Amino acid sequence: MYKKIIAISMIFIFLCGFFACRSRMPEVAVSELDKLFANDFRDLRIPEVVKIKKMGEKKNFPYVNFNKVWESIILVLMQQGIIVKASKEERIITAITVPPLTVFIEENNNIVTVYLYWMEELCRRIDKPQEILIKLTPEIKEQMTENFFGQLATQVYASQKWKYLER
Amino acid sequence: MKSKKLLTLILMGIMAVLFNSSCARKIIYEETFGTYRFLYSAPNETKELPSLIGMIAKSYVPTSNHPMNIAKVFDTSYEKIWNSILKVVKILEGKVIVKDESSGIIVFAYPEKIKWKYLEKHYLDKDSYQRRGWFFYLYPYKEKYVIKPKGIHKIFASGVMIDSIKFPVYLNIYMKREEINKTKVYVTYFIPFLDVPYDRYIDINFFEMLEKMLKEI
Repeated sequence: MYKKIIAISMIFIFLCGFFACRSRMPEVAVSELDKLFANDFRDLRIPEVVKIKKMGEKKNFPYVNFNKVWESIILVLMQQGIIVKASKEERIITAITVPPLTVFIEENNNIVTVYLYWMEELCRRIDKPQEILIKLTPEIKEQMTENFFGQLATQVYASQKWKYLER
Repeated sequence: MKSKKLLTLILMGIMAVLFNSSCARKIIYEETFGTYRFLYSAPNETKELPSLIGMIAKSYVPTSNHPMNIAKVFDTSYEKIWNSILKVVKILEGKVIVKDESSGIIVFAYPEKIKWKYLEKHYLDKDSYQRRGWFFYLYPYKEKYVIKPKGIHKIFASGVMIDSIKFPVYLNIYMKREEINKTKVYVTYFIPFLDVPYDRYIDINFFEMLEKMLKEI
């Protein structure tokens, strides 16, 4: 009798536990980004410069040189995510942030122009490509773009505004 | 007969508590660390854990995702620093994601199976500075090169070794020649905060390792 009670109670507890845990398991959707994390970003495709310039946002930075802007972008992006591509020759930096982004830098007539492209396509679900895990409304995107360029401008001009910060 | 019934009830009670604990631990893991990679929030905020977890321990965890900002100037050559960083990466068995010497950028991931030391830290409330709870604190551990944890909060206890962690930690390192004195090299590094099981709690003393390497090279 005693053994039966224990056996029944153990089965009951096990079943309760099993179903309780199952019901609490969240569904984890796998995106292109997750796939990239799994293979150390080897398969990451950087958008072409033409696409970045055409579809991205841009901001001009006068009175500074390319090196200063390049370094400032690195310092801003390395705080926000993983830098997965950085080529000074190609003038491109890609970072895995929310969502991932690619930056292209151009210098013309002493004005440095920074193009910012949000790589939302990496947030698509693999099993349901029409579904994007991190949806950005135009307002949010505008705000994020503004924030990024704001941080970048602070970093670029900080040493001129507050000279004691210069190392 | 009565004692048997009583024993059964006690046994059931113990099992229920044990079951609840394991279940709650699982939920702690999910609730605290999340299942998505990224979770950004305002700085210096704390989050009270749900009541179910409160059964085990009433805890507050910091939700701030502000990254570390550590910089140091080394009075040595650029090439020597670069080689030393590469050696640190090798010792840590890190996987290099980006390596560009001309830009001074190295990004690497700690491997998944590195040994981790576990610490329990008490968390202080941002306003009252009263102790409000505890949270886990993990850092990579190598027998020869102990990477000591850093942080603004006092560490009260150290604990057991944890053998396996699911996700790697990423480290962005940037170095450049100092602008005023070109013989010196400015090095900075950041651990970007990804919402993986240890993100907000991880810290390493990268410079300590780098200094050791510089002496060896």
